[in-house]
Amino acid sequence: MKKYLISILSILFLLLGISSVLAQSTPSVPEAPTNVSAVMGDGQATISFTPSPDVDGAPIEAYRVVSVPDSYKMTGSSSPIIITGLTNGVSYSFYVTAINSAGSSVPSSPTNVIIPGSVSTSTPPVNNPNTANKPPKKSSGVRPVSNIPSSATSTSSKTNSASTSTSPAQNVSTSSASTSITSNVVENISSSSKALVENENNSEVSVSSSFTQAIKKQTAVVAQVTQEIVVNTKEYVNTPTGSAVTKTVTTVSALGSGLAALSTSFASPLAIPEMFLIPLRIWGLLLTTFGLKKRNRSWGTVYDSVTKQPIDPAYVTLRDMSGKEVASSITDLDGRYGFLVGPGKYIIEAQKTNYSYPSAKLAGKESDEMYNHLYFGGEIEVPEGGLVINKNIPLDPLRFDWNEFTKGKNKLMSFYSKREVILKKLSDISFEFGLIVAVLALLFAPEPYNYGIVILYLIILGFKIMGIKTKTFGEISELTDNSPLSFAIVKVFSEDWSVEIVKKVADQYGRYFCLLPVGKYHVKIDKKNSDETYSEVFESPVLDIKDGVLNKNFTI
Amino acid sequence: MDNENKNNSIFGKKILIVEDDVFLNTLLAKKLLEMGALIYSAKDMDKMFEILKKEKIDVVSLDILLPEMNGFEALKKIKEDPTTKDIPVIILSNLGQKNDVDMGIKLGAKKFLIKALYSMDDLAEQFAEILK
Repeated sequence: MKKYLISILSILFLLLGISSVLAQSTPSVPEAPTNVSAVMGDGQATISFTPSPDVDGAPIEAYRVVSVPDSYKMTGSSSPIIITGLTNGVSYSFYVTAINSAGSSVPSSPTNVIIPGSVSTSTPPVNNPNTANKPPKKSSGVRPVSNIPSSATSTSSKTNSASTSTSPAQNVSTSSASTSITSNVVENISSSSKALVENENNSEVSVSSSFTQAIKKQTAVVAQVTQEIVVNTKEYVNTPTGSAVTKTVTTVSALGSGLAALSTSFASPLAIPEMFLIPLRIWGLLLTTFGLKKRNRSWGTVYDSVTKQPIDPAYVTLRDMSGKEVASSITDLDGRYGFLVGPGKYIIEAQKTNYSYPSAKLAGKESDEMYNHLYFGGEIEVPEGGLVINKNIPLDPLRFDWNEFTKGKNKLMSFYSKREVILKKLSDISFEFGLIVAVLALLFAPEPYNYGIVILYLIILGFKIMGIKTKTFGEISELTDNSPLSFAIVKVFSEDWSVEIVKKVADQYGRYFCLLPVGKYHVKIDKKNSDETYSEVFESPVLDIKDGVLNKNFTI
Repeated sequence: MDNENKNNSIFGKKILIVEDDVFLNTLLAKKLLEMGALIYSAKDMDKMFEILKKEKIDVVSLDILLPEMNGFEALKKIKEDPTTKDIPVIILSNLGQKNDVDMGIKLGAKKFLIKALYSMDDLAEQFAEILK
């Protein structure tokens, strides 16, 4: 049993260790591309930019261009990237992200605004030091009215540039900043348009009516760019690097980030939501793993079907199918009993004043929150070789039982407490919730890390359903030929009382079953001689029985 | 009664069982009756002393956790009363901590038996040993 636990815990911590190491060794995400600009085409645009440098030796794997509006995406390995599928006559801006093995960079500053099918406004982004803040130039051919607010884009680029150059956390947390950006844009559009009107007062095109519409369009584009940047920045802060920088602010944003952000966060072991979800899942696993041991004891327990408190003294009788009593046992304070028997068919009866058997309240159930393998009076078939019958037997309370009340009040039991009942309920809830979270995490982000967690859950689930084989009995054998010491007598002496407190007779295979109160004991073994007499052949050192069962193997 | 029963040390002895669990009381009484003992039962202190003073009890089987009295207190009173102090008392309880056992033995119990460690046959054997 301990081996199982140690193995499971080892795997658990190994996985945690690996994920931790992986997280630590993950390179940083790249910086955003700079000097991004767009040139219009027919239903398409050509996006140029200055590539991002490699970070921590991790090469840039791709660049992604996203249009605003419509979020058309195009990925390429270098500048320029042509993005197609755009609608002629619609104003677009674009931003670019660089991608390496650690993830995606923050979005670049947006490009100038273009209208496919028309002539590019060709106003460069503010990031381009050579062109920033320059007044718009008259382009050749028909100059659309949308040229007018191009400097507004430039201004917005400036604003966004300032925004993106600060930490991502600031970006995420500044919904008010977005408003500020928009208002700044409008303000700058106004001033820019004034300048434009002055420069273009000879234009054949009347700008007065189109002007307002253009402003609205461009403002909407800028606002959308800002919103996209905020969303993408959320993605960024959920990466290992981002989360390390923006712990506090991201926690708030992560809660509202929806499924997309959830997906991103599941993929990253150290993302902020994972900070909560990892302990939750691990806690569910740990609680259940430790709970497994308690659900799979070496003994059976007679207990109250309502309170789950063990019952004593209950009288448990094992009968063969003809009704003949094979063995009997009085339960201890922890309601414990057990019968080591040979192959055959048996039934059990359990009786206790103020209780009824079999339980009607739990009838038909295989388990409850505390106990597995519930028994309601059915036939028990013991296979060849025999085993310990240790079914858990619920009894229904008929009336108040002073003994049970006093026992619970004075906490006289060693293996049961009300706290444990609560813990087991909590364990079950944690396990179920943790399993759901683990499966969701895997669905959203099929990463090795999430596979590992789900596999662990499935293993534990298997143990929960099937149970864990526990060592129930001890064996006595001859040192010389390892043959069993059949029908040997195991005499147990209490170190505290210095008296023999119980003796058990081994079966023909040298096996014995012995429940004891927690304490220190030593054992003497009498061998059965061929003339039916017994002689003492062994005395053990002091044995510290902490788990309430003597199941040691003795070689004589 | 067969000869085997007549030869055991329990046969014809008066045994007082102080046990609040009716079912266990019945089981133990039945076993001892089968061996020829005369069985008396009590659940509280008054009834216990009434029987002890009225009958010449050979051995008392005393539980500790009792709703009407504390088994240790009962044992103390038995041992303090000159008319009952020589009656052997076997504590039969599921309590088994060292302090419980020490207390029982210190107050004068002949044996401290943990119910769960004994079958009915084992218990009868323990009674027989005391009554030899």
